[in-house]
Formats: sequence, C-alpha cells, structure tokens
Amino acid sequence: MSSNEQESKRMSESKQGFFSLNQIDQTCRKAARGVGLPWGAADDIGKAARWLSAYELTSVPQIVELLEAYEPDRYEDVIPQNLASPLQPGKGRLNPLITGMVLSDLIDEIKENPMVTGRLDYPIFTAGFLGQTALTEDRAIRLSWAGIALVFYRDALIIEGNRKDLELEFCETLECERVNFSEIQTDQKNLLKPVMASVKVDRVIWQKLEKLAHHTYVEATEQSRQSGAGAGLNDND
Amino acid sequence: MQENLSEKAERASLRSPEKVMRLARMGSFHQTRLSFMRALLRCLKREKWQFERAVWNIDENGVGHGVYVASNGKHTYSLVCFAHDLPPEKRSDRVIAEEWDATFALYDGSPNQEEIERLRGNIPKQEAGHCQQTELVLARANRSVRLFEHVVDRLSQGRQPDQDMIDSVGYLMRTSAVYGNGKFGLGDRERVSDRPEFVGAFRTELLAVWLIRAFTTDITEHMARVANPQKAVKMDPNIKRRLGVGNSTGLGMAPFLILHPALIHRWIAARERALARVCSLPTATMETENQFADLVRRMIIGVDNWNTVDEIQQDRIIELRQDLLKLQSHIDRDNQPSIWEAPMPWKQLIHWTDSALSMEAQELVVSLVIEPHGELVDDLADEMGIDEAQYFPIKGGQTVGELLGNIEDHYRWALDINYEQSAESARFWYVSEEKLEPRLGERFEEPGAEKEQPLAFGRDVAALYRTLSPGDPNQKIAGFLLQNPEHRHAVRRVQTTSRLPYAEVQDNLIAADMRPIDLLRCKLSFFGASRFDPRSDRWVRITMYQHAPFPDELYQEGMDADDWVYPPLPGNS
Repeated sequence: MSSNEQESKRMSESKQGFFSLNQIDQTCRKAARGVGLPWGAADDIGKAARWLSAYELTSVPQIVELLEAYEPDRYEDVIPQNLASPLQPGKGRLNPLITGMVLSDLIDEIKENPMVTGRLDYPIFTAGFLGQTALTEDRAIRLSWAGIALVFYRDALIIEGNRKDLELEFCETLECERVNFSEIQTDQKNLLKPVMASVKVDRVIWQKLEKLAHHTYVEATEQSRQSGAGAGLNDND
Repeated sequence: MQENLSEKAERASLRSPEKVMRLARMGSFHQTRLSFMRALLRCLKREKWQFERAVWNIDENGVGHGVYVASNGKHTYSLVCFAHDLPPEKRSDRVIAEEWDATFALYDGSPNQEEIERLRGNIPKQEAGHCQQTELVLARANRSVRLFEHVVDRLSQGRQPDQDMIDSVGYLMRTSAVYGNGKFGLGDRERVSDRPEFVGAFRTELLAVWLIRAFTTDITEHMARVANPQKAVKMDPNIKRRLGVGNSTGLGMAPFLILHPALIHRWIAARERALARVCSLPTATMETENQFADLVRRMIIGVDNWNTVDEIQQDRIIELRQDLLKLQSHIDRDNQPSIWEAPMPWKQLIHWTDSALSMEAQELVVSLVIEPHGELVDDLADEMGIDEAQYFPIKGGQTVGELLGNIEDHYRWALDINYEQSAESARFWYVSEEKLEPRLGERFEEPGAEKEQPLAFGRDVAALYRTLSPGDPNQKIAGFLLQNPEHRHAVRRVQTTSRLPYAEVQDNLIAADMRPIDLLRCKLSFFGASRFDPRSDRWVRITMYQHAPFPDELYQEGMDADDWVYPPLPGNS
C-alpha cells in the first residue's frame, strides 16, 4: 500500500477529523481572539499550536480547554507580575499561553542564567512558543519542568526524561535556558523533526474550537450579503 | 569588485517605498517577466516536464472526470477535473456559491481509482468536502456562458469560433477560487516548498490553473463533438491560444497581501530590483531598443483587446492607449535619437514617464523596460518566496525608544492621519459567518465593527505610538507588551517592516475613499494576470495564461515558453 493510500485509509476512520497544520494555526488563532485575547497574542497562539501539532505533541484538546477557561477579567492575575526571574503570577498559576509568549519575547535576554517561572498551568504549551522562536535562533533553547526537558535546536527537538511529564496539568516551576549548539548531544535517534501529515483531532473537540473561532465572524445580513463583497450573486454572462 | 559596483548601482536606482507602496500605484501594476506564471512555465520547460491527459471520462451531458498529469520523472502531479451540469440560476462566482460548472484538485502523485472515487465524493463540494495532504490545490470554475456556447456551436458546425469574440472575452471558464497551502485540509506548503518547481510563490496554484486551461478547451471541443460527431472540428491552435483562464476575485485576496508583509516585501523588492538593474545599465543595445519598440507595438494591440465594464478602468485604458502612442513617439529614434544616446537611457526613460504619463502607463513601462532583459533579471524570480517564520518572533529586548524611532522612520504617513475623522475610519474589514467570506463594512452604518479583522495597521501603529510616547524610553518591549497586550500585533508589524522596506502599504486601509481593488490588482499582477476587468471597487475579473502555449505545445518547434504575454504582431501568431 502506498503512503498516499495509507493516508487515505487513515482518513476514513471517522470519529476523528484530520486537519492540516494551516487549519490548526488559523482556527486556534481565531479561537484565541474569539475568547477575548488580542489579535497579536492570537497570532502567537496559532503558531504555537501549529508547532506542537507538527511535533505530534498534544495541543488542540488542551488549547480548547485553556481557551474556554480564559477569563479576560483575570488577565492581571495569570500573567507574570514583572520580567524578573522567577516570573510569578498575581494569583494562582501562570497562564502558559501568556507565559510562553513572555519567554519567547525575552529569549535574547536570557544569557548565562536561566529564566525561571513560578507555578504554571500546562507547561507543555510554553514549548509551542519557544519551539517556534528557536527556528531562527543561533543558540538552542532548553525548557525543563518536573522530570522532563525539551531542547529546541532550530527545527529539531530533543526530549529528555520522563515523557509522561509532557502531559502535566501544572508544574511548580519551569526553567528556560540557552544552550550552545556545540553542547548538544545529538543522538540522531532522539532527534525529532516536524511531521508533514494531517493531524488527527477528535471531531467534538474541533467543533468546540470552531465555536470559539465563530466569535470572530460577523452575522450574515442581507446588506452584508449584497454589498460587503461587492459582487453580484449570479454570473451568467 | 565588479559585482559590488553593480549592486551599488542597483541600490542607487531603487525607487523608494514611499513612492512604490501607495495604493494608487500598486493598483496600476502590470505583470512582469518575474510574474509567477511566467517563471513557472520557464521552469517547466527548462526542467523538461512532460504532460499528458491520462483520463477522459466525460459523458454526452458534459458530466464526468478527466485527469491531466505533469511529471519530470522525480515528481508527478495530477489535476483531477470534475465536470458538472450546472443549472444557470446557481452560477455564481461568489464564495457563497455551492455548485460550479467544474471542480478541480491538484493531486500530489498519480491517484488510483479508489482515490479518484474519494475525490469525487469531496472535491465537487469544495469547502464542504474533506481534503487531505495529498491534495495540494482545490479549485472551481464557471463557464463564460456566451463564449462557451458560441465556441461549441461553431466547432460543432465544422467552423472556427469568431476571433473577435474570443478576444473580447478571453476565456471559456473562469476560476472563482484556487485554494492551496493547507486550506480546508489541503497539503501544507511545507510539504512541497523544497521542490525546485515550487520555489517562489503560488506556483502550485498556478500549475493547477495552467492545466485547468487545457481542460476548458478540451471540454468545449468534447461538447462540440457530442453535438455533431460528423461535422465537429477541433479549434485552430492559433485561435485556441488566444484563450486564457478567467478568474473572478473578491476581497479574499486583500487580507493575504496585508497579513504577509515579509512575502510582499520579497515580491515588490524583486520587481523593483529588476527595474533598478535595468535602469543602472549605462547604455541600451540596439537589440533591446528594438525589442522594446516591438513590445510597445504589441501592447497597443493588447490595450485594444482590454475590455471592461468599469467606467473608471475604461477611462484609464483610453488614457493608457494615448500614453502608449506618446511613448512610441518619444522612443522613436528618427524623432529623438538623443533618447537612446544619453547615458543610462532606461533610467532617463522611467524618469520621463513620471511627469509625462498616467500612473497606469508608468507602471506598464516598468514592465516593458524589464521585459527585454531576461538574462539580467530572471534570477530574481526565484527570490520571491520566503520563510516568514524568521520575522515572526518579537524582539522583546528592544527598548521603547528604539521602537518609537522605527515608527517615526517608517510610519510617518500613518502618524499624519487623523483617525478621529469619520472618513479616515469609515470602513472595517470582517469575515462573514456566511461561508467565511471576507467583506468590507461601513463602520458607522453596519453592525459588526467589534469583530474587525486586524488589517488597519496604519491606525494601529499610530495608536501604539501614542501609547508608547509618554513612557520610559529605556523600558523593554517585553515589559510594555505584558501591560499593553492589545498592541502586540502592531509591535510585531513595526519590528518586521522596519527590516523590510517594501512590506507595508503606505495608505489608510479603512478610509472612506480606499479602493480594495488596488490591493487585488497588485497581487494578481504578481501572479501574471492581465486584462483587469473590475466589476466594482472590490471585485475583479482577470485573464491568466492568454496566448501561452498549452501543455502539448511547450516543446513545439518555434514555441517560446515565455514570449506570450504581449499579443503577437499581425502575421506572427
């Protein structure tokens, strides 16, 4: 069976939908905006979800959960209170979407000492932002929490430690540090590269994501239908 | 050393972003020899691609499927075409349409029968069907009813179609959407981006369109044969070549142009660098001078066949024709030999157009002066793609003072606009829940402005500037964004466009007098489109591949894969 035919067979197993990375990026972006995050943050969240999906790290179900739980009024509580390490939330735990963005924004500022965070929800999500950032960096980025570490080395990923900790719902602390390429033990067997295939997502989860994205669409009206696109409805000429 | 000197001369001849990146000028762009469809055909011929119609399974009602295969031995792509019997009342080019005369998928490889059946269950539904990574492009097309019927009728009687009618319409079918890059589950761009045939931008989509063109003429000949098997004839190749593929395009193209600043910079920079290379030539050869004069004559014919129902464009075409005659007289050696004897004659010519010709003509002359200089500029066509990821991360270590400086350097045009005036904020870009069609609304008359898409970068950068100005100039941007996350998209924008001078459209995209069609035309000109036919200020029909060789003609003796954009002079068809 050719790889195309295998993909085709895979697609027909149906409770699951199959989506391109572009769909994941764009739909997560709109969903993030749909729950009230600013467009600029939504852009980062879409790219982070895309990155996580390309490396087959869990993303869409948890991102739906995080976005559904997002409360714009609590923004100040869940973001780092300032940029000094350790980054600490105002109350409760740090939001990994915002924290991932902050770590990514600060990556050039992290030199000898790691940047450390306080308590953080779904630490794996910070990986989406830093993985995206590492694509263009001259030094690798190492992210660690609990018993696991992820090293982002341009478009390659190395996972060290207990993979179960990838799925932790929260961690007490997370460390982000820079590593010279020459210091990385590149065992080819452990080097993960992005997978170029459709991504499997439970259809119910996808519908939830689309429901959030729907908040960015404007209701259809007859005026909008007639004039908004500036074209006729019939083209028999 | 020599190379450094020519690079320096090229830089010195570049037109400024302040001049180029204005909507009125971008809306006057024409195709150039760097345009994607031309670069694609040059590449296909150079790399000896082979083409065949592998399947033709269309019945007497014009319903069924066909498969066109392109292969270079290393990669194979198959355009799978589904022909439908569409009731006239359903024929609409809008995104909200649900049925079409024909639907297509460009498949990565050769689909077997099982795959064809899967595609048959999905491709005719377009957005509502399911695509997977093997499908690189999803497209649909509607007939130009009057030309399609005319050609079928004539061929079925054993006669050739009327050439004037062919020239006046220009296509048998027009595509109303050509999707790629992972949309609706299609293969992501990364799947093919390292394949040499798809360097640059939009080449997968334009390969599909070129093969669709062959389908449109084949199905027309098929219908003529069905109507009268005894008498029907095929189209004369010289007439057939006058048919391109139409395209009907709405606002969907505009957000793309705004949301991909790094890519747009590459497109415009390549075009401007090509112009600058030509302008920095110290002299013109007699050969290029003659080629240029021929091109002007050929373009005058092209303008005569450029039809539109749009009054503004009609006036522009009339003025363009006058301008081309003025140009013809200006470059006539018998009248003004000094034009060609002066140092840097191409630069002088471009300089002359600035004050002598309309904007439409100025930008056409840009295309015309680039045209005879393939050897000098064609390498730039391969530099029109980009890995946008490198511009995505925000540099949080930048200071507020530095960012303010960037804004003052690159967004002065945006800071000078008073967005409090209703005319400057009159519109908003949005996505309708109706098939996610992109639309433009009137902010003070319609609901939905709170769901505005982030395309008004002039306004948003001005707002960022106002927020930044009273702050500590030494504060890091990462800290500023933590407290002011609503400015994140504008910060990223300024950091990107500060490094890429041709990345930003320097006009207010929500002003009452903004013409979205200028954005559409700019983008379509890079594709290589011609005969822009606006249907409103936000909708345009165009023609693609008119006069180009068909797949079975690419290697025909005397057939130039690239000399087809300008209509042939009489006697040279």
